[in-house]
Amino acid sequence: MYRKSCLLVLLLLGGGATLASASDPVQILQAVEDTLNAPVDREANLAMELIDAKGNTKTRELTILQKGSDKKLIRFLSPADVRGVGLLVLEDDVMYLYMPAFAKIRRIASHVKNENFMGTDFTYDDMAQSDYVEKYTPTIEDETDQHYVLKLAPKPDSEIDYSHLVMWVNRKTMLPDKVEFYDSSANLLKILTQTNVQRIEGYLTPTHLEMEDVQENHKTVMELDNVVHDQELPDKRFTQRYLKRF
Amino acid sequence: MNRTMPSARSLSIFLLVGFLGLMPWAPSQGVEPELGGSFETDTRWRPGGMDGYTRNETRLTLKLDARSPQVVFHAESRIRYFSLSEVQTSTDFNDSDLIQPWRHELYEAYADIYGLILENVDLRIGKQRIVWGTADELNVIDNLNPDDFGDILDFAQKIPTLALRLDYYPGDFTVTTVGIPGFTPARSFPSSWDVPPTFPLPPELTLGTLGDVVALPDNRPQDASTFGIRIKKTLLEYDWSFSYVYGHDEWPIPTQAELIPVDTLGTTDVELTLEYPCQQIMGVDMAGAVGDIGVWAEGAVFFPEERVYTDIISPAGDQDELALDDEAYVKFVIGGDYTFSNGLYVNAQCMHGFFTDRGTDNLEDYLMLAIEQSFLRDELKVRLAVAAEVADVHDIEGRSAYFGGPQVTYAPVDGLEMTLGSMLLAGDTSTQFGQFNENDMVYCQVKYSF
Repeated sequence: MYRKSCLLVLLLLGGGATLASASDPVQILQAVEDTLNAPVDREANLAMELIDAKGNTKTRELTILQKGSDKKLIRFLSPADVRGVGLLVLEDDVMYLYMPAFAKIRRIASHVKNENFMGTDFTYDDMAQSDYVEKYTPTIEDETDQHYVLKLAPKPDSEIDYSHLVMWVNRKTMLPDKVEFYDSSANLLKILTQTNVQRIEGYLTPTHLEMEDVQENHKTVMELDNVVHDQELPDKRFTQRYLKRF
Repeated sequence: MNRTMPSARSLSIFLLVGFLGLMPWAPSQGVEPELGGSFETDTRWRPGGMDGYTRNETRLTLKLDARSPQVVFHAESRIRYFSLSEVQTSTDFNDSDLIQPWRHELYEAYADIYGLILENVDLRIGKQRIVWGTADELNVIDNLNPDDFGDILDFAQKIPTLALRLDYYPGDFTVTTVGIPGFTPARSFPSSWDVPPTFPLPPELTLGTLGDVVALPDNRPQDASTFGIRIKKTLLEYDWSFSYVYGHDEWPIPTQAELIPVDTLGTTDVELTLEYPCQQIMGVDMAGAVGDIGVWAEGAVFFPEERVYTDIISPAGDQDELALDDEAYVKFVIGGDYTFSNGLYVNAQCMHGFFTDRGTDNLEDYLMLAIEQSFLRDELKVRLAVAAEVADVHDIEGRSAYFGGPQVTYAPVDGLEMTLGSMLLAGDTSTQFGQFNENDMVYCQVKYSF
């Protein structure tokens, strides 16, 4: 908490670049992670648009609650056939899925983490991802006036199917503007772009995200709305009790 | 197929109007009503020699949710029309319920009350489905709602019943207590499956007609109620629960069989009396992972409250046969699932003791395997589910059955789902599923959710 508060002050003072000037890739990645996880908690609505190669679109609406880096609760609001479906992500990669049609909470093992989440271009792990430093070893690929370009290699014990990631870290915001995901054969698989960064209640928040699967020519566009930070969400909101409460 | 009383139509219309009527006034009461549901068609037919339609259904499901911060009301109502006419005589021509049978089902209707009694206590009251267990639908510890075998494609369904459920959350524990006032019997496989009822008779006798009288438990709280408690906790990275249920068995046992000779050739009618004995059930279940593989297990020990005998009354003299011993018996399920890197999903389960099996010597074994592959971002799903029933491990060839089949589901747009599949059944007719071996089916289903 103390570390995050210090980081926030540094960021507000433009200290992100100062922090990373040492060009230590771990420090840069830590700064990214801290920026992403700076709010004590966050609640937001997400509007997703799934666009296939022919331009056909499907929409998804969901809410997301996050506390720290290891607690998330995601709830689908639409379309009707997935309404109420909820995903609870806890520390140590423990995940529970609530399916209203079966009135049942089901624990999900890690084998699904690299599967697409409800037809989107995000995997379950992408949706849960907020601990880059723990799972990846970063190296600096390039430095430009605007970006640090990091190559992230999965650590041996992390269960990640990507061979590596390439992340463009914005020097001013210390947020990733773009992330490339490479498959197990080291071919480019997906590209995540984050734009329209807004300062909401003091926290830098990208509100427009696009994840494009370049191999399947499929894209998911995500807009964040009604973002609220630091409501002091209690831990009990991230339990099975609340997962089924909809 | 059940016919509905004329008042059921009025009830359905009343509920429908009630659902829609709630919309305009509810906001003024501080709740936010939401109406949703689905429209479905379900057509099934038997291929080959026994060809013919077995189901032709149109179903409208309406779901209503009304929410306030501490109370949520949920109701699900189903109106089902069956296009297989039940007309038998010309006098039926003016009976629209026979020309086009239909029925209304109030599947669930309950209220959730959060933290009203105590902050960490939730209450659910009303007609509800209470799901216990961690296995994939084959839940041997789930003995609160009675079985619903009305649809063999979904034979693990249960019938929601009126219940009071209380969830208490002390620390990391979850304690669930359930009280079900009243007894609801299980629903058997559809009569349209043309399996003649039977009763074992001495070889010199031939079964004529088989009739029965069902003696439901007395309709008093101490006789007809079911009680259950379950305690859940995550321990050593696995989710565990321990449960206890006391109530009547949902499947009846013959307590009396009256043999009535019909002719001198040995033809004998049998009149059965069926009763629902009491039992206690201790259960344990777990879920977690071994490496990347999801694993789960459930076990239940059934304690019949007393020995049950079938009193056989015949002109040759009366005798008793043991129908159910009071010896405890164990049912269990173990299973796991895994998704390969190419997206192929595999789910395997082994079950000892089917829902209807009773007594140590009568527990069958089931092996179930489902393989599923999604394409086009889940727009297209191909699934193959197969199962083997082993009634006698010492005579697998003679006393076993196999069932299952492929299924293709296509969801081209949001809310719309089209399914084409088949179910094939084979095996010895003395087994649970082998008795239906003339009932292979092909099915086509369309569902639109709104």
